[in-house]
Amino acid sequence: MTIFRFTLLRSRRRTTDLLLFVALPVGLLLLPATDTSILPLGLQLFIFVIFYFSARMAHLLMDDRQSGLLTRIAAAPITQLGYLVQHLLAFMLLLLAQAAVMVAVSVWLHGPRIPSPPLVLLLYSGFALSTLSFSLAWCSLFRNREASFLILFNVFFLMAIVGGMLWPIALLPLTLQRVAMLLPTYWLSEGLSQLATDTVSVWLPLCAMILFAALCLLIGSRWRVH
Amino acid sequence: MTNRKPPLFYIAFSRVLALSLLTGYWITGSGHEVGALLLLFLTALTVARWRLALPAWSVLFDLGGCLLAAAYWPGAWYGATLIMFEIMLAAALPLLVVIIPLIVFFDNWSIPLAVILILSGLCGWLLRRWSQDHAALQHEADTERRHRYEAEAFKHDLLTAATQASQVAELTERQRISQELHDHVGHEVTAALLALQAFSQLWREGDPQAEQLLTTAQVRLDAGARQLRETVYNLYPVTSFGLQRFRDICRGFPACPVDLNIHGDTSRIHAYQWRILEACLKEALTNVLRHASAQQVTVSLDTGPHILRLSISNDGVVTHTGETGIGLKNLRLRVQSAGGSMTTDARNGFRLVCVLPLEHRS
Repeated sequence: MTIFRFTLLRSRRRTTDLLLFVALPVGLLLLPATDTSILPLGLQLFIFVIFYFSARMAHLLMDDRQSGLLTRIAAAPITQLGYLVQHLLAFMLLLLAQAAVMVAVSVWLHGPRIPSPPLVLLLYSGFALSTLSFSLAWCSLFRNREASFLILFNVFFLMAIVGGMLWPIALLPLTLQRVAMLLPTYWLSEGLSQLATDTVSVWLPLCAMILFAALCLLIGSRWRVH
Repeated sequence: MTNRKPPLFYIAFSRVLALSLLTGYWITGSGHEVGALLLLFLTALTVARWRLALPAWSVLFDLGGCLLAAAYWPGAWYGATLIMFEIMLAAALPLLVVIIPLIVFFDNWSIPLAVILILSGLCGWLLRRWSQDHAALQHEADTERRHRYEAEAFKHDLLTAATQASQVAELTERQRISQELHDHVGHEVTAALLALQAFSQLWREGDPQAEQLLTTAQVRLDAGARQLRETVYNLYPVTSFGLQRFRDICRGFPACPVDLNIHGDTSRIHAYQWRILEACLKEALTNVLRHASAQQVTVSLDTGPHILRLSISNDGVVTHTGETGIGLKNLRLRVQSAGGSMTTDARNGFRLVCVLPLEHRS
């Protein structure tokens, strides 16, 4: 688990990232709660924090590729699967910890407004996995780090709009509503909506997000040394 | 050679097309949530096939997904087009025995579905045959390429061996000359020298035998000179060689006058190098005869302290602008095998420059 430990250590190397990792969720928690939505506004906007950190973390692998570190790793007795899995585990651990703290503090602040906190956490974990996988697949298509990051964040924003995270999906045209079903943002929104009424249906959105993650991981796990 | 895309590209294209059509059917149809799940599932399996080369029986997962999804969305059976495509692509025909009855049993069998299944199966089978043919051709091309590389390496070895053999032959010839001079001329000259020394002594003492010794010395010297002439005559090659041969070739060129310029000490050029230079000269003059209507050919041979440089240029019009001919290619290989280099320039007329290293004779 050397890579796993190294990834954890490396993720806290930059002070700005570390500060953002803590400050952004705290800032969201301070947002006032609205009566119209199912979840507090801070928890709804938390997806953007997940987007941001998924993209940042996936781009660490791109840094490895650009700096030539991946070439040295490829020459070492480390399998591609091991390298990828250990990185993913480390990234997921950080995102899970952040989500867990966020949900726990939201429950503490808003109490019964959060339906089934463990399932909310489960949905956010599935969502974090799918966005992380998507970022990974995205990075495997690009060479330039900055361009990749900028375009990816715009794509995430579009996914949030189409997926019904910013307004009800019923306002979108029918075709877009159906296309949205292929995105994890839709299934997170759907899962959270279902959670307010019926806790059993949360497994379908979770399954969709895991399938999306598997698909992106298969694309993003190509060993591109150069 | 045209840059055709390999069958793998069309296999990927067929898979993407099938998934796109299914997505389009789902979007324009009921748009059930389970359909989205099935699409994600089938896409993930398709990508897995591209990345991991899954076994043929993995289509059972696709079938399971279609079976489950069909309970909520009947259009899920159109996902079987991918299954049929993969089965025919992998030629896993026994799986058809399992899958077709299942489709017939669970689905309300329709003609459009049957047609699409047959078409996708046919597409898979054709792509399989094409892949096999492509692989066989690629193997054949690889084998041919390997044989060519081996032949080129063998040719290079042969040329190197020929150069070495020429060097060995020169050494052997030198040894033979030395032996010839020692056996025939050396004895006579030594005997004459001894006779002259004895004559000198006896002549100072006024001995009458001195005159006889002088006569013996003269006879010996005469015999030595005769044998030396015979040896030189025997050693002289029947055909012209080296510089003389160069002059003969230039003089005998029929198309236009050849200006031959020689600089430096040509005696330092080895026999095998003369052979290469002669081949260069002949090839260049033949090319002038065949491809260029030249008015003047200039041949210049410069022998420096370390290299010798042969330059053959003409003022003709280069009509042949294609790739380097086989003659020049072979010549370049010969020059390279002797440690030199050969270049050509067709900008103003045609110029051939051959450079060979000169070894110091010790």
